[in-house]
Parts: sequence; structure tokens; C-alpha cells
Amino acid sequence: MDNGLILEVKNLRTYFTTEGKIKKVVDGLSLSIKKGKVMGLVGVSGTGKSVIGMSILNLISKPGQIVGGEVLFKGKDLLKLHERDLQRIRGSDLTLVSQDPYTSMDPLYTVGNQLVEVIRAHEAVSKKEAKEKAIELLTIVGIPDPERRMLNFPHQFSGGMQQRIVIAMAIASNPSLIILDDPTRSLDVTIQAQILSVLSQLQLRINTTMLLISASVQVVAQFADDVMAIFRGRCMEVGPKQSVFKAPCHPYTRSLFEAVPSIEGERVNRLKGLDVLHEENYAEGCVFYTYCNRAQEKCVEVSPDLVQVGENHFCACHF
Amino acid sequence: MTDARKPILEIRDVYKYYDLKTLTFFSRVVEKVKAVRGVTLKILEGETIGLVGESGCGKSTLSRLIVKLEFPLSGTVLFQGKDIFDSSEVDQKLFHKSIQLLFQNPFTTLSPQMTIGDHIADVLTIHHLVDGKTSIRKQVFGLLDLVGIPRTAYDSYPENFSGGALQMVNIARAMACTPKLIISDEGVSILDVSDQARILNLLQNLREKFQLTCIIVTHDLSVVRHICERIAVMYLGKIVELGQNDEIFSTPAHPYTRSLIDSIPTIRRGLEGIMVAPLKGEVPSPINLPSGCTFHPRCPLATDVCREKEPGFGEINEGHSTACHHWKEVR
Amino acid sequence: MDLRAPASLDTVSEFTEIRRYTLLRRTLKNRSVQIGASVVLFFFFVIIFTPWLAPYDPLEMDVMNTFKPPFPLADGTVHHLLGTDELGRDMLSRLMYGMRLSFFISICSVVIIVAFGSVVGILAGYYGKLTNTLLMRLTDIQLSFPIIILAVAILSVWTSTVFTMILVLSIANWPVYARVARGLAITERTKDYVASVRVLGASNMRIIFKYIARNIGPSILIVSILDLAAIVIWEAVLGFIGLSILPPTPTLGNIMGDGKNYLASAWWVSTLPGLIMFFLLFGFMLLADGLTATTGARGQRELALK
Repeated sequence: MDNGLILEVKNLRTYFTTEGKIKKVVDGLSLSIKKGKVMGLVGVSGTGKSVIGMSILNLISKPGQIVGGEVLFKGKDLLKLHERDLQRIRGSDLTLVSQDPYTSMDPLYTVGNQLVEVIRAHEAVSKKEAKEKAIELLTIVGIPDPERRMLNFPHQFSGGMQQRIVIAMAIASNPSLIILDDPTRSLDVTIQAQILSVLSQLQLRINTTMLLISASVQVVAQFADDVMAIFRGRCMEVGPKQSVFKAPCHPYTRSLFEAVPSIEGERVNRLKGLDVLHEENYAEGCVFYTYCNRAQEKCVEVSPDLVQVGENHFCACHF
Repeated sequence: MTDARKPILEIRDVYKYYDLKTLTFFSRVVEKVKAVRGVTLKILEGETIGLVGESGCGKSTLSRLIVKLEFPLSGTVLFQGKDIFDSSEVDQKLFHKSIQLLFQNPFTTLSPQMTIGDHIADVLTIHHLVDGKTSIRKQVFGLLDLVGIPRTAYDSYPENFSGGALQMVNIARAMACTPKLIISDEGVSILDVSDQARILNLLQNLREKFQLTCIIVTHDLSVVRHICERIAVMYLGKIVELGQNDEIFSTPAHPYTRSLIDSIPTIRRGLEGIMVAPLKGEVPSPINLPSGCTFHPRCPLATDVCREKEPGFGEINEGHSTACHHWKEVR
Repeated sequence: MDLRAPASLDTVSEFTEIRRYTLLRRTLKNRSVQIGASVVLFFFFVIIFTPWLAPYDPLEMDVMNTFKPPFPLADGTVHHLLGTDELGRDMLSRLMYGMRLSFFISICSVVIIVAFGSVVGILAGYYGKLTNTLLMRLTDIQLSFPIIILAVAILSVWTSTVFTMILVLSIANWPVYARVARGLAITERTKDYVASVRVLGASNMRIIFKYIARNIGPSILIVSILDLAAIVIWEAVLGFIGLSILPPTPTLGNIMGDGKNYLASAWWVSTLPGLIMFFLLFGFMLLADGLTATTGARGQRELALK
């Protein structure tokens, strides 16, 4: 962990086998996150972003399997650890906030109960102290009247509130890394804004390292320090936010940004979208070949490697 | 500049409440969910109007009322001048042929046991638009071409397609009736950006080609920014602001609209490090509504008068109306 | 149009072919389906080819050889594989013809009750309110009559024939399908695809028969598979107490009934039909279970009625 990297993923490959066919959902993905930074993974749905998150946590089960690569969390390869050790890390040093808050909580226990449980599982504190910490956490995430609401059950909270509680549970153990899998997907716009605000305040306060996975380019733009564009489980472009958004190099990244309707500026009458109707598998070439408007001969044959195009900014395209 | 177009749909003071029955040990409580509380709106022929609001604001209920999937408590809806709920005036089938609804979830709106071709062909059969056996296939092909789906989809089942593609199938189904008015009820919300763009582009094209009137119901302001001429903002069952697209975005006249605009994350804001400014609090339950102006608990401009008196919906500029006591103070 | 020309057109159809093919393969690979289907097919084979397979005429009496037990030893010769009954008739042949008749009755009954019950159920479930109340009260009245009493009532007026048996068993069992279909229809009618096609202008009849029926069909089919076996057993019950078709025409039921007086001595007369029914039920259950697992249609257990 000497190089300041909390997470270092090297050449991760996760394949899914259904009915005899192998689907390379994640194929040679590498990424790294420095301490205190937020890395945003963005891409259209179905490109394997969630699977990447689950692979990092080593939570892939049949019909999927992690077939190669390393996931170095603070120097230790999570893919090689025993399940018991993994369980110690998951939920305490490496936590997850997923899309649907309601399924992340136990509907039969009060919110306070669940928080206290998480706290006491990782710190040797008395019930009373844990309770106080729980109240503190609920206040940090913005739940009004925490002492009283601690006694409520998850279903008594609205979606936005539930997600805040899940975030509280995720930070309760002072984790070194939080993975957020599209945390605002099911929320209304104003509630999403609240959650993003909570998360950014958390960032300022506790300086947590985060991996934010989202299908929404705007959310990632708002929040991440570094951005990686994923397509078909491979990295298309990666770099610091400013660099990638201002000068996107890969045609995929470009079309992602152009498809985003913006409420600012001039009204643009036509949006540009990708044609993602069919699946083609060009085994050797670039995964983006079929959709690319700059594709040439070379693209079918050779899969491009990451090429540096700016400071810390890499792009996987022949051009 | 007054719009010379005639209204094709008129919603007049429509109310819709739902009964919520809860059984406790001692009594049976019936509460009323006030989904729509007096909505009046004129929709002009050929226009694209956006109906914006978050969950619980009643926009979905309103769209269902318009297509007669629900019936209002009071108020009327006139389509081309005729009361749609008066069965003697409007022929049921003809009505459905003229107004179509695009649902939110493309996966559940198609029967898994029928092929794509079957689905579209059925619509043609319902409205007697078919003339001969071979013609069905050709007509369906025509519709598939219109929306941009390959003809081979005819014999495939919904399970093989992505959300975006299925939504296009739904559009093909809707267009099979050659409607005059299409309502998209969160039709693109669950799709990702590129699929959204395709669907929205498609709707625009169809609109131009067939002179359709479109109502885009969504919670996403950025979607309406691009394709709607007018925008109506709803909150807790009422329209709180209505106006031309540009005016709403440049000079909103309701604090809720202002908050909606400020809550949306954008690339520009992200790059400049401007965090979204969230609205405080949660949307109140439509069962127990706050007094006076229902927005007052969350409103940064709220004063005593807002707590006591519900503001009327009035025109402040030509074509721009709002329901706020302090609209002048909204930036 | 702004949209780009679609890519390869063949991919989609290929996809469908593969999906359908593998559903069949998966079904056939399922262990329950394999065993269950084998048992069921075996029985059907026997039933269909009975006239050629049965060693003796089921009505042929041989007063010299009454009450021979199955698998005679000692003299080595096997005349009657499964023994004979009190009139010297060959058990094996009687059982085969008996199964044939029992099955025939069962299939006819099942067809009637599925058709009738499902329609009643779907209508009740879809329309609700008055229709629902009326139809459900009807089924309640029906269900409150125990089948035995019903059988006695009907059969004391008419003599037992194949027709009356089918009648009795149908009347007794159709409410189950009504309930099942109603439950399924209620679930389906609130689904999006129904709302969607209603907005498109579909009439109620169309929605019921084209859309809802197709989606609940598989579930009902699986329940009916089980019922084929169940009704055979019902017939046996009635036969045991003497209410089924009168001898000498054999049915599984009346064979059991005949043998009940000799349970201690010639136990095989009553036991063998029982054993057959056991395997029958076993086979059908496995098949139904396996099909539920692979096709995902709801099965008997989830509907929890009988």
C-alpha cells in the first residue's frame, strides 16, 4: 500500500457461461484508485459495470466466474483470499452501497438496531457508545430527528432516506473503500441531488476513497475525480475528470457525452445516440467496432491498447 | 405571439382521489390519496408539451385519466371538443385509436408469449386496418421500418431485446393506430442515455412526419428541455407553473421549478466544481397535505401567507402562468 | 432519419432459435422430467397397446384357477404373471384394461373440467365484482358437497356407466380450476401488458383470450397433468366402495373393490391396482415438478389448493 493506492485492479477477467456459451463480461480491465479519490465508472447499461464492482468484492457466483487478474486491496489480492478473510474485509474495510436501498437492509430489524450491529461488529464499544455513534452517523447523512427515527423500521422511510441509511451503514466502520453501484438510480431528481450532496460532504469530511459506478454521465461528472468509460467490460478511456470531459478522445466517450441532453445552453434539436441493437463478436478487434463511425480495417483485426493522450489520460483507440 | 393552433385536448378542473383502506384491529380507516387536485390544461394540436414532476405529483395519474384507464372524481376532459367520459359522445374504439400511451417499463408491457410481429399485427386487427392475410406482414414490416427495427424481429420474442428496442416496438404498436396524440409516460426514464436519445429522436421524427401532438411526462427536466415547446410543472396534484420552454428555464416563476433546475447534475457544473443545490425535505404524502401552498414546508421563500393561503394559478406574462405568492422573488 | 442503418439482420433470429432450442434441451435434461416422463410414457404405451399386450381376455373366467397368487413358483410355469382373481380371471389383463378405462375416464374429465373451470375462473378473476361473487358462490356450493355424497346421489338415480363416472368426477373437480384460473387472472389483469393493450383499444374478450389466457395457460396445463393422475385415484376410491362402473368391466377402482373382501387371503387383487396408482402418481408428480422447474410456470405447490 506504499504507493498510496487503495485499490489496484490488474487485468480482471470475469466470464459468464450460459448454456455452453461463454460471455466475456469483463475482459482485461485494469484500474487504480488513490487514497481519498473518487473514481467514476461510466457506461451504457449492460456493459458490465456492476459486474466489475461485484468482481472486486469477489462476490461473483454461477454462472459467472472470475477467471483471471488481480484485485489488490491495500496490497492484498482479494481474489486469492480465503472466504473467511474476505468476509472480515467486506462490510468493514470495503463496503458497498447498491442500487436498491430497501434490499440492503433487513426489514425485520429497526434501523438503529442494524446500525448498532454494524458498529459493534468492527469496534469494541459498548451498546451505549454504539448507539451514540449511530445517532451521529444518521445526523451526518442528514436524517432529521435521529434519536426517534432510530426506532423505525426500514419500510417506514422513503427511498431517499433509506439510501442515506445505507450510506450511514457503509461508513459506520470507517472503511478504506466504498463501492457505490448506481446509488441514485431509483431516486427522484431532487432526492438524487440530496444524496449527491450528502456524499460530497462526506468526501470533504472523512476523505473516503470511493468507486462510483453509474450509467449517468452527469452524476459521475458531478462527483468523481477520475473517470473511466467502460464498454463491454473493457476500458475505453480513463483519466482525470477535467481532461476526459473537456477532450474526450475515444469515439465511445464522445458519443456518451453527446447523447446527454443538457439543460444549459442552446436547445439542441437532435441528440446523438448509439445503435446498440445487436451483438457482434469480433474476437480479435476492437469491441467498439460495430458502432464506431471512425472504424477502419485495422479495427477489426487488432484490439487497441491503452495509449497515453494526456497527463494520466489514456485511450484505447487506434486513433 | 399568440399560438394560432386549436386545442386538441382540454383538461378542465380534473380531480382524482384514491381510497386507501387500512384495517386496524378496531376500525376501518379510509384515507384519501389526493392524486390530482384540480388540473386545468389546454393542449394545442401539433405541439409537444412536457409535464414535469417527481413521484407523487400526479402526472402519471393524469396521463392514465387522459387515456381512460382511470376515471376522474370530477372535472371533464375534452378530446377534439367531445367529452371523453361520456360514452354516448365518443366511440370507445375510435378514441383509443386517436390517443396512445407509451408506458414506462418496456419489458412488462409486452406479453412474453407473443412475438413482436404478433403484437403489432394485433393492433392492426383490433382497428380493422388490415386488408388480406399477406398484407398484415407487409404492414407490420412497414411499421418496423418506420421505427428502425430490423424486419427479422417479426418472429422473435420480447425476451431477446433490450429495453430501448422494446420501447421502439411499443412505439410501432402505438403508431399502428395512426393516433393524433401520443403521451409518453416516463417512456425513456429507465433507458440509458443513448437509448433515450434514439427514442426521443424517433418521437421527434414521427411528430414531424405525422403532425402528432405529444405530451412528454417525465421527472427529467433535461429531456423536456430538448424537445418540448411548452412545459408544465406539477407538484402534489396541481400544476404550479406553465410556460414556454425558454422562459421556464431562463426565468422560472416558481421556487419548485427553480429547485428542479438546480438539482440536476450537469457536466458543466461538475467540471466547475459546482455541487447541485438540493431541495430540503421530502415530498409530503398526498394523503395529508400541508396547509396553504403545499410547497411551503420545503420552500426557501415561504412566509406566513404561504402557510395559510393556497396561491391561485395565474398568468404573469403571456403564456406563462404560475401558482406562487412570491413568484417575483424567484431568481 | 438520424438513426444509423441497423447492423446484421440475421443475429436476432438466430438468437430466438437458440433460446427455444435450449428451453427444450433444458427440459429434457431435467432429472425429474426424465424419470417422470418415462413413467408416464410407459403407462401410455401399455394403455394404447393393451389389446395386443394383454395375455388373456379380461372377462374370461377360469373356475379351475381361482385365486392363484402372482408369480407362481414351484412348477416353474408362469401362466398368470400377476395371479388371478376370485373368478379365475387374469389379473394382468384385467389391470391393463382397467388402466385403460380409468385413464379414459380421467382424460375426458380433465378436458372438461379444465375447459369449463378455467373459463369460469378467468371470467370471474378478470371482471371481478358481481361476476366474481356469483361464480365463486357457485364453486363454494359445489365444493361443500363431498364427492362421495355427490357420487351416491347421482349414481343412485342413474346406473354407473362411463358417462356418469365422467359426469360425477367432472362436477366434483371443476371448482379447483376455477379457483386456480381466477387467482392467476387476478394477478395478470393488473399487469402492464394488459393495460398497454387496453389503451391500444383491445376489447375485454380479446384481452382475456389472447393475452391473459396465453400467459396462464402453462400453469394450468401443469396442474392438469397432475390431475390426470389424481382423478384416476378418485375413480379408484369410488370403485373401492362400489360406486364405480359395475363389474365385469374392469377399472382400477372396481378391481380394488372386488378384492376388498379377500384382503387377507388374496391380497394381490386389491393391492396391485394400488401399487399401479402409486407409480402413476409418482411419475406424474415428477413430470409436473420438473416442468415447473424448467419452464417457470407456476405449479401445484405454489397454487396450494388441493
